[in-house]
Amino acid sequence: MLRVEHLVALTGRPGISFEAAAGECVGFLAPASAARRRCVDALALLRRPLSGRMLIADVDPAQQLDRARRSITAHLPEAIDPRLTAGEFLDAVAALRSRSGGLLRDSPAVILDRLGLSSKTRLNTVAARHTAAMAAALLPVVDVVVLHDPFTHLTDGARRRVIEQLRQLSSAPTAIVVTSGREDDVRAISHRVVPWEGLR
Amino acid sequence: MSALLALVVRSSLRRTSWLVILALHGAGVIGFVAAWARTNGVPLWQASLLIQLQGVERLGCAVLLTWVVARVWSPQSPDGGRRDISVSVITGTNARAMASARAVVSMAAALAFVATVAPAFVAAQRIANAPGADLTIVMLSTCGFATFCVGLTSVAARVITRPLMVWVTAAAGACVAALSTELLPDGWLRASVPAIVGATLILGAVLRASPPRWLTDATDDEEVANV
Repeated sequence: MLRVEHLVALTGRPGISFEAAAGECVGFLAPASAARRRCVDALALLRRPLSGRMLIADVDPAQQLDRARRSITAHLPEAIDPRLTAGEFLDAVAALRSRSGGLLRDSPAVILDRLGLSSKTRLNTVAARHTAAMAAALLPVVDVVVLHDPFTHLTDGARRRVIEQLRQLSSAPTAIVVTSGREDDVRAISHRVVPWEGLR
Repeated sequence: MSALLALVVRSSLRRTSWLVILALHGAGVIGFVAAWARTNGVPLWQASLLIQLQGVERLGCAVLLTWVVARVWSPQSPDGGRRDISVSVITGTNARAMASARAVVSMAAALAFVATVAPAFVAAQRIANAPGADLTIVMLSTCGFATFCVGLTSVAARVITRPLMVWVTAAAGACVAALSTELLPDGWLRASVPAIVGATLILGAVLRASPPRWLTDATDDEEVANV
């Protein structure tokens, strides 16, 4: 589902290569660093890598970026305007995903409820934005989900609910890539943990 | 597109109240007409009430419309617009769609501005006994200048990080442009030139979101240092 070959996102760092099959969760354990941030940005199709190649469901983002972005989603709290409510944000995500022909796993209200948020919750706290970003990542049916420090700022209850949702997600035909500096976070949801020395 | 428009409108409305700004703008213009209607204009300035009102309207656009548009585009950053590209990844849409939505909402704000004060212009034309053609030119000129204000603020928002500085820059630039426009020899030119320049600037702001549909390449040392 996801194939990464010699991906270099920051000058002077070694390239990374791995594959994630459908239904597989690959975890990367690496402390916070510029290199890790750049690699995650490249994997989430935010930033063009310096070299290397990615294939998402056989689509090369370097050739077909818009098509590749329809097959992937990511946990990106920085995308959320703190003045919105959780319902407004997730409804917009659902409408735009549906418009581009995508399917949804559930309605926005159901996903929010599972993560312990209400539609009217204002996203003016870091924790609320992180949870809403996770809800947005869980909402569409896509080939690849990229999660970067997914449990940071979450309460214990929210963390537990997110882990439960991610475990259900891995039974679907979706590949998950998760990076974190916390080993318990990575191991909680990953089928295999890959050493990622290049990100240190 | 409607979902994106709703997202931009909701965000910008919660940053600043359009109704308050529009009411302030309308009250200022109506107050000017009410105060100077009897004397047919400010005594120290021998232009007609209609032309003087146009000046007041331009000042209103330069100060208030730029504020609203700055809030519509805010917060943007010169790193390639991380928030818009992130939204593009989450929603599976093209990054240009978000910038287009911001441009559409900005132009809607400009039209609301002009519509708010249109009755005051009609009243001023009748009070000043000006020909109908003058009113047409003044209204077109007002629309053109509002478009220019939108374009200038949109571009400023793409290159300046702090929203307050975006507004200050755009307001100052719009004031200078308002004075410069008066140097043009013809009423039609005073209406069309700001409109064309403004539309070009808006297009530039939208297109600037398109080439870096990725974030800027991995050469931004400042960002690396901040991680």
